[in-house]
Formats: sequence, structure tokens, C-alpha cells
Amino acid sequence: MTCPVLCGKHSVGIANVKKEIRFAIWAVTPATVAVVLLSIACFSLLFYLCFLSLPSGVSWSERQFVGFQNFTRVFSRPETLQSLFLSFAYPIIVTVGALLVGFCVALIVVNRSPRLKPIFVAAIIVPQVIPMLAAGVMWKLIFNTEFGVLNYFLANLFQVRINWLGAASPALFAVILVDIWRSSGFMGLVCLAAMEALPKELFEAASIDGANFLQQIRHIMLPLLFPVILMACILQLVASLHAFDHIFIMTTGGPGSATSLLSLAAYRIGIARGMLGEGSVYALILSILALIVSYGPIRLLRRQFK
Amino acid sequence: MKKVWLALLVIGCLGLATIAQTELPADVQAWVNNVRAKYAGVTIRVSATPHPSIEAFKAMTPEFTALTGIKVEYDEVGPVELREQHFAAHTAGTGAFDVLMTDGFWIEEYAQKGVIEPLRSYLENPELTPAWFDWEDILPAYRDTISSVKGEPYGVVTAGESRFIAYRKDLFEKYGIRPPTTTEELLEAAKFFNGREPGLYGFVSRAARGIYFASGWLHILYQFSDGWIDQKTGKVIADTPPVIESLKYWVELLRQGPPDIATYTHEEASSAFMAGKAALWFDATAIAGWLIDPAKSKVYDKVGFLPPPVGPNGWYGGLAGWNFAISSDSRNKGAAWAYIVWMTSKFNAKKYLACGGVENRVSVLQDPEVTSRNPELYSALLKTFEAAANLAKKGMKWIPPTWLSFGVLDIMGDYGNMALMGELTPEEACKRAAAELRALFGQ
Repeated sequence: MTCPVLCGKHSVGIANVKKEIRFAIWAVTPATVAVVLLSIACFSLLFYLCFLSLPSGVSWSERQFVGFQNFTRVFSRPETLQSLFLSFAYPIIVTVGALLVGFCVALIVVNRSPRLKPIFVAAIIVPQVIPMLAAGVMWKLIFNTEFGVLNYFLANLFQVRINWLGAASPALFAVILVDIWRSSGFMGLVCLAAMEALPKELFEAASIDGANFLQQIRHIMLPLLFPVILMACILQLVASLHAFDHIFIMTTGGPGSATSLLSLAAYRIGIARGMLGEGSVYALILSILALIVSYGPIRLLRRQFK
Repeated sequence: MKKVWLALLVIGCLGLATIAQTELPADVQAWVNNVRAKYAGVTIRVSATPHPSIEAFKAMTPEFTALTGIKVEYDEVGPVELREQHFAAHTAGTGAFDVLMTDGFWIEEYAQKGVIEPLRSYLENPELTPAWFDWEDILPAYRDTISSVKGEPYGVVTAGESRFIAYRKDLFEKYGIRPPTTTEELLEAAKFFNGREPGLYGFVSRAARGIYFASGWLHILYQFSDGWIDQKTGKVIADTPPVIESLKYWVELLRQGPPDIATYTHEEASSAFMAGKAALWFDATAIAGWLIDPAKSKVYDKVGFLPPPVGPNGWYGGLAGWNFAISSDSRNKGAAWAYIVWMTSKFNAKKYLACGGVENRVSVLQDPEVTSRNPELYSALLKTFEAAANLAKKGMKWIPPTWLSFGVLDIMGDYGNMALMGELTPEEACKRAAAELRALFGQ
């Protein structure tokens, strides 16, 4: 038995949705094409530079093709392996740290009274809006062994003075801490927005059924938030891979090579030392690492949406 | 109240007018009139790094602008970033800057790559360069080394410097220690004072990775060796025993400093000394003014100065410093040169010094009115130049004479810093650095 009135309306509804989807595709196509073409062009140029000898300041016409010489030089430096390891571990540590802090802060904010909420939100946004170069200068002063406020409190409270930026491990800890401080804001905002969109009835029902706070988080909140958290982690991983500003200001990749991530090596060799070919090799390795590090989470995310 | 403010405004304007119309000698006035007629209303941009010399030029700028009508904007970044800024602007060809503050370490590279203008045609044109500028009065040691490339002038020195030692006279007198004259005595004194009093370290200097460490290492490099590169043959000798010895010595000396000295540039080193945290400081003569400035230094009245120490290979001193050069991309080269002439001339040399500038001229260093302000400082300066001249007598330059000097310094400084951190022994550091240098030079 047909229902011409309702079925007709249903058909019109589907047609409208299809029309909207087509419009959306057309709307984003120009920007998508531009981004893809630009990415291909930049990556191709980077790849080409890896095979050239091109000291900075020398004109493009004086470039020389040197084959794999730049790759050989880069991988013959023992520091390269350390930079590779650091660049792999650093974004993972920062992402996990920022997620933990951001998630906890969002959990506190979502359960607070409306009057306190703006204060907490402002507190997690402030690190996001400070330019990372300025933040690096600020934290460099805070971590200063002789004059820094951190050692002032440590010395007065615990009679301890730590050589924050002059020793390898503390320096690495310091730059990771600063990145977590900054990135927690982004993670916190994403988690907060996602938490506020969750239906409260689920938690009320769970509460009635006897689930405590932690059980509600584990069995209801986290599974529902998982796609959003995963997306935020992918973005944070890629951002942390390219960390440069605050590390450059605080340690310039030192002391020694303690905080010399691939991003800093690319700058030091390519720009500061003027060896663009070798610097491009570091940048290429960093790009490949970004693809590797983000591949797993992206696959997981695709499965979520299927 | 309103009348008081009005009165102050009038007095201020009269004062400015007075400055603008202060009686200048006829030849200076003629030059000013000529420059004003050509360039009034032009704005030039000076790309610089924070430095006592730039502070002095900024203080002199209002008078220059009032006289010539040329407005001046200063763009300041860190010393390492400055070079990158210059190359970025040159590659883009935007003419973003007119005057470039150029380190003596970079001038050969800049000349090679066409970043800056050769100045001979400017210097030989009496209309552009009047007699009261007096190029010959500039210290020949600076003029012929850090400002010139293969005999051709490319810059005008603004802050020529050597490297010498500042020490805490009060501490040395208190403990009866003789001020050091040799490298051995310097190390002994640094070890003696390190931790001698709460919060006191023995020694500070620049030691951050890269060019900072290398620049510090150069303080004593020639006291032990003939440098990283044989200046006659161009061969890399950075892994020879004398160079390794120099690095061992420098690392041991730096280890008498604060625990985070491996991150120190000249600013942190000077701050530590000015805060009374170190007994000895070894750095640029151009910064000496900060150490004895009551507004900046807690120990301004306790500072003595010494020339560089004598080492196993002899007695040598540094010759480095900053220049003003004209950007080859500048759209206002005439105005840029007028600015350089005014700021660095013999006519304004004493004014420059009074504003916190640096002694670059023979006439200034020989002026009793100047030297009587701090006889010990000027005596140490003159002895330091004597030490620096010893290197020139050997036919050598303090800064490695190659257009790749920045790369040399960056490589040596990276590995030197790793030796300081204990990641490598000095031998390993020198061997690895030498291998990279040979790759850099294609040897």
C-alpha cells in the first residue's frame, strides 16, 4: 500500500539533503584543491632541495646537483639519530600530558557552578593566546638557575636549586613542560565542548543504576568522547612534531644536543649554517615522521566513523 | 596647571629648535644643508641587534633627524637572527633595510654574496664623505680587518672590539690573589674563586652552542694554536693537538662558572658578572661600559680590567666588532650613507662615546679627557690592542678569513658545547668538527 503524501515528503527530504551535500562539496572544493596543490608543490621543492648543494645567499641558478651526498652527511652525524628519537618521543609525551591535564580541567569546569566556569575557561585559554616566542622568553626567565622564580621557591622551601636549562634531562623536561602547559588549553577546550554536548540523561540513568563517578567516566563519557579526543590528539601530535619556537628561545636545541629535535636541526643546519640541502633532508625526515605518527590515529578515527 | 604644561611645551620646543639650530662648523653645516636638500622626508631602516653602540646611535638620532630631515627606524633582533634577517631580505630583494649592522665575522660572506655595497666610491667622493668624517682616524686594526674584504672597505666600524678580562678587584684584594697574566694563572684564579663565597662562581663567558661557544673559544684559541684553519694553506687543522689542548683548557675554565653556563650568550655572562656572581669575566671590550655603569651593574665600582693572558703559543688578542654597511638592495643608499657618516664621524665621536658608544678612533683613544675617566680600562684596552697586533704580525686574522666563517664558527661551537656538556671528549669534539669542516670546504 502506497502512502503518496508521506512518501512524497520523504523523497523531497532526501533530495534536499543530497542537494545540500553537493553544494557543500562544491563549496570546499576550491580551498581543498588549493591546499592540495600547494602541499604537493612545497613537498616537491623540499624533495628536490635534498639533492642540491645550495648555500644560503647564493642565487638559484648556482645550485649544484650532488645526488645523495646530503643524506650521507646527515646520517653520518650521530646527533641525527638522537634528534630522530627525540622527535618521535616528544610529541607523544606532550600529547598524552596535554590530554591528561586538559581532560581533568574540563572535567572540573563542567562540574563547576556557572559563576566559576568563566574563570577556569580563561585560565586554560591564556596559555593558548600567548605567542610561543614570548612564552619561551617568559619560561626561560622562570627556569633561570640563578635568577629564576622557580629556583627561588625551591631554594626557600626545599633548599634545592636545579640546573634547569644547563643540564640535559632537566632542559628536556622543561621544554616538554612548557609545551604541555600551552597545549592543555587546546585539549581542555575540545574536551569541554564535547563534554557539554553529552546528554545528561545518560549520566542520571547511570547514577540511578548505582554507577559511581569514575565508572560513569570510564563506561559512558570516554567511549562517547573517543572520536573527538582522537581527532584532538592527531592535531596535537602534528603540532608538537613541529615544536620549535619555545625550544629555540629556551635552549637553542642545547645544552649539547639534549633538546635538538629535527625541527631545530633543520633550522640550525639549513638556515643558521646556510646548508639548505642538508637542512631540507632534516625537514624531509620530519615530514615523513609526521605521516608515520599520525597514520595510526587517523586509521582508528576512520574505523570510528564507519 | 594648564599654564604650566603650556610653558613646558614651549620650553621643550625651544630646546628642540636650539638643538636643530646649534651653531655647526661651516663645513658640517654645508654638508647638512646638502643632505637635507636631497633626502629630507626620507625614512631609512636600520637592521640591528641590541648593543651599547645602537643605544648610543638611538640617542643621537633625534638630532640627526632634526638637522637632515631623514627619519630613522630601528629594527632589532638577536645577533644570530640578524644574519638570517639580512639574508631573507636580500633573497627577497625587497629593500626592507637600508643600513645593516654587520658583524666582522660575516663581512666576507656578505661581500661574496653581494648583500652589501662596496664603499670605496662613497669614501672617495668628497660630496658624500666630508673631511670631518676622517676615515684614516679609524683604528687601522679595525679598518683593515673587520671592515674590509681583501683590502676593499665594505663597512664602517661602529663597535670595534677586542676581548679582555674584567675581574673583581675587591675579591682579589681580599684574598691576596694576583690578577692573572697567563692562561695558567687565569685558570688557577677561576678555580680558587669558584664557590669561595656563597653564590660566587669563578668565571663567566659566552658558551651557548653554536657561534656563541666558538666566539668564546676564540678568546684563547691562538694562545694555544694557530687556529682551526691554516690561514696560509686553507687546510683544516681543527683536530691537531694544539687545538684539542685549547678546547680542553676552555672547557675546564668554563666549568668554573655557573652550572647553566652552557646556555650563556654574552648577555647572560655579563648579567651574571654585573650581579656580582662571578670573580672573572672574559668577553668583548665593547661591553665593558655595562660593567661599570652604576645604572646596570651592582659591582660597577669594584671592576678592574686586564688584557688577554699569555699562553703556550704566545700572546694574542681578538679583533672583532660590528660595522654599519649599506644594503645592496636599499632604495635610499644616499640617505643611508648620510646616516652612517653622521653617526660614525670623527666630528661626533665624543658625542657617540658620551651616549654610551665604543672607542673606534685613534683620536679618541689618545684623548686625555676620555682616557682619564677610567685609566685602568684604557690602559687594558691599549695592551689588548697590542696583543691583537701580534696576530697581524704573524700574517693572521683573528676571525677565520673565509666567506664560510659563519659555518666554521657554528660547527666548532656546536661540538665545543657538546664537549662542555660531557657528551664528547675534547678530542672527539675536535675530530668530528674537523670532519665537518673538511666536508664544508670540500677537502
